[in-house]
Amino acid sequence: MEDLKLPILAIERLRMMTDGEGVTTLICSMNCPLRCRLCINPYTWDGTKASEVLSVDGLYERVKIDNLYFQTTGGGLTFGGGEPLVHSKFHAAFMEKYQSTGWAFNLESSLQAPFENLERVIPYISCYAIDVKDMEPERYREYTGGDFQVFFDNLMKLKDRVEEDKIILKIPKIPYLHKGDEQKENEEKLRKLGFSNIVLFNYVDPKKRKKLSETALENRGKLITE
Amino acid sequence: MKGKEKCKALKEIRRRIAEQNDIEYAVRECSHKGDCKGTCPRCEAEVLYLERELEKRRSLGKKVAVTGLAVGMAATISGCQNPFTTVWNTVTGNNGGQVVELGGDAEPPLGGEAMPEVESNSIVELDGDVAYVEPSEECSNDGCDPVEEDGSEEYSDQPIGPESGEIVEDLP
Repeated sequence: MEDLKLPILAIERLRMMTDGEGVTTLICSMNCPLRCRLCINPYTWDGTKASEVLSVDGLYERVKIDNLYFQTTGGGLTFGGGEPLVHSKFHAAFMEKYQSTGWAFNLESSLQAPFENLERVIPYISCYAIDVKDMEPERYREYTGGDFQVFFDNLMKLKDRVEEDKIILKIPKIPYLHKGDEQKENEEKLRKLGFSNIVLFNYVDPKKRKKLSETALENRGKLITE
Repeated sequence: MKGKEKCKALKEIRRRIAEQNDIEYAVRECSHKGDCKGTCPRCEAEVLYLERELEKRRSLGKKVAVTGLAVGMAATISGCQNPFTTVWNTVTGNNGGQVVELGGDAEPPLGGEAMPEVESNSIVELDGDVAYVEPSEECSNDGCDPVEEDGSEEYSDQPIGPESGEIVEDLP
């Protein structure tokens, strides 16, 4: 465990009413296998931001300042990114070592990782917020560059292993990709699969975003052509 | 939840911890005008004071009440509706079908792709919320600081692995 390190884009403290129950701290780690056309955090993969690298104990030292708030409100840490599952050994080691704190641990993930990475963190996670993106395999690939089957297989395995109320599915309406009822169709597919804890939301207009790197603009440009 | 609203909720949590553990704690109204990030050095000092007092009680063998003391309190204090609830009501048809827009001023449900944009390097302060910005020893001068000698930011524009669509084992 001594060698495990986590490259971090950002730590956002004192989130309330956002990551479920209580006061939470969001840990945004670097790296992602997806290249979502409208990615809001391209800094995790486009090479424009250097990360700070923390050890397991180093991360604890950073976040322990809010221990009292976590304990009193039932809150804790939310691991996001990037894709946190590409650092599953780190996250599992952190949660194993610090589960005695009583903090809740949440995971925000696209499930784009080998199942063993997901399996590694399952014993510790209280709540899974899953980025669905799309339920149509070709559209999923077009938008994310990733393999729908990897996401889908992991989602169904997760469903088999944890209580359904621990899984929250985030279904976006994606500008320039979803031009009709795709979001509703995605929701219906997931309800038929037995999921009921579903969050629908819209992305804001990507043209209102701040400066992006040439890499991120090129990635986005494959979806927005005008 | 942001700013003064968050500050008010956190202050109430501190007050309740003090009350339940017989710790002397005078709530001081914040006189700060303008933007509030929900906490400040004075608020942080109050947290440290409470932790010290609780530790004193533990060392004396006294019972300490902390766990779950304020579960569900944030919503009560602020009168603010959980974005989750808002969106969930959308799904169930309870709020007129309005779907939440993320980004901009909206505080998103659950991290990741819904994060605000980040302007600076390393551990950063994010839009509307507070990040812990104290530099770490691990990253003081060992190559993770991206600032070049001329003061400009490093800008490699080279993708960081894994490549698009590449499913990888844990990264080192």
